Amino acid sequence: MAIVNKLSLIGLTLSASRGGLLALSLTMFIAEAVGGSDIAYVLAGMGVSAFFSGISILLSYIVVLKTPIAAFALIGSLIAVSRSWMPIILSSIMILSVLYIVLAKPLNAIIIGDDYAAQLGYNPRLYRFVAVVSAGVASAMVVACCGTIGFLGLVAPHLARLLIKSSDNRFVIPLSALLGSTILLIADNISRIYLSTKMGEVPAGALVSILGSIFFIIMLVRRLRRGI
Amino acid sequence: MGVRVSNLQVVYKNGNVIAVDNISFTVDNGVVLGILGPNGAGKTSLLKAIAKLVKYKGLVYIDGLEISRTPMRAISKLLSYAGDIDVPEYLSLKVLEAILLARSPVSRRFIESREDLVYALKLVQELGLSNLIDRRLNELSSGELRRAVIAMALAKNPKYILLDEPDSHLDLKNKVLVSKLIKRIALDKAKTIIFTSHDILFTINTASHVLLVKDGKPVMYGSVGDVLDESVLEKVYGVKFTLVNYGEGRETIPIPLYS
Repeated sequence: MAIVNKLSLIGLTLSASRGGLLALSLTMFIAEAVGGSDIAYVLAGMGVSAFFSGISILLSYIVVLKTPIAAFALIGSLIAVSRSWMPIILSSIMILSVLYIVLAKPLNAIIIGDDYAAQLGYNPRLYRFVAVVSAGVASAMVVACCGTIGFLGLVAPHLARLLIKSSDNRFVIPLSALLGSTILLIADNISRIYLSTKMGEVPAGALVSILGSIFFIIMLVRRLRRGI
Repeated sequence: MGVRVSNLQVVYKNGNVIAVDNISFTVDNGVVLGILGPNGAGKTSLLKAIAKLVKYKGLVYIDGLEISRTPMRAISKLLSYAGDIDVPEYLSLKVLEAILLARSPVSRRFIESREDLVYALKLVQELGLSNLIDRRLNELSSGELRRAVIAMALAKNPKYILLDEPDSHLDLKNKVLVSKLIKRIALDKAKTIIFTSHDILFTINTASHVLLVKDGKPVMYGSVGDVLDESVLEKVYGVKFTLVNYGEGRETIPIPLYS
């Protein structure tokens, strides 16, 4: 039983990673084809995400007929939290903690420019590739457990940079992790404690997505007003 | 020692665009070389090739090391390349952060040490950036940014500094300031500096030697005096020049003729 559980965890992680990486490569392909700016990435990501959402819904329609609780995987909820998730989530965190130390300074250099990073001795394409793939795999692992939580990954770093008034990744990355998880926890508590009396236990992902996308739209409007 | 370039060629778009066409020259230590030529002459490509930032054919030696066989890590300790910097607003690092980051090749620590900080602050003072250390790079004026970029190039204490159009986007006062700065750095810190520019006056007032290029081809290499020739300048720029003596005949400046 334990072995089957472990195997299915690995299988889950693998297929989540495959799906995540597929979506990731598609997004990168589209975004780079239109210039590779960060807004291109967000828009391409949204498009690809909607596409895969559709496929997900189709697949889960079939699954949900048999296992109703699977519906929560689509929205992102901490309702069906299970202890068996811990190894996946812990490995995800461990992978990222190690890579954080390797990637933080090179990513700071890449912010300034690819040529600039190269003349500091950091290969920009290599570091960017490792950063994107590890972020993709690590998120896919967590999404496999809890479903997607929209826009949190966008809001948390932005908030972190605003708070410490700096873009230094050595501080922004751990702070975003803390902020992101705190925001989710608060949202989950709100939905669990407050809203559940009104409308049953609302999935935390819904709340965060709503607030996150409002934040994103405000950000977008501000930047486009200033001419990006 | 120094920089030796041999039969350098830089092509783009599968050989359809020849940016640098068979250039060879040597730069001795302590020289300030100005690569001068009109836009599109291949100056930036030439500089980037020396910094191993673009693919090239031919040979480039820095301090006797053939750079195609030298890992980027080693090269990053020897030279700094500074081009134009364009950073999105909300991502920009602050001046001091950027100078500290620029010490990476010699510091290699996750958090910079006290020595790194002391070195960076000394540079900040020397370059007149003391009240700008907490400003983000994108908030600086063009003159301030250029000085910050030069500070970043100096942070790792490289033997060679490559500056791509250090006078671009600068008003006259800042051009003169940057010119004096480059000369002072070469002298006081014993650096070898190679810069590109299309501004003749900036170049002849900053460099000790000049490489004139046009359409990727070398036109002349020599001291500043050698390059001050009306017919040569006209050939390169397509504009008539006249040479004027001043300072009791010891200084010569070229003046482009508008009519």
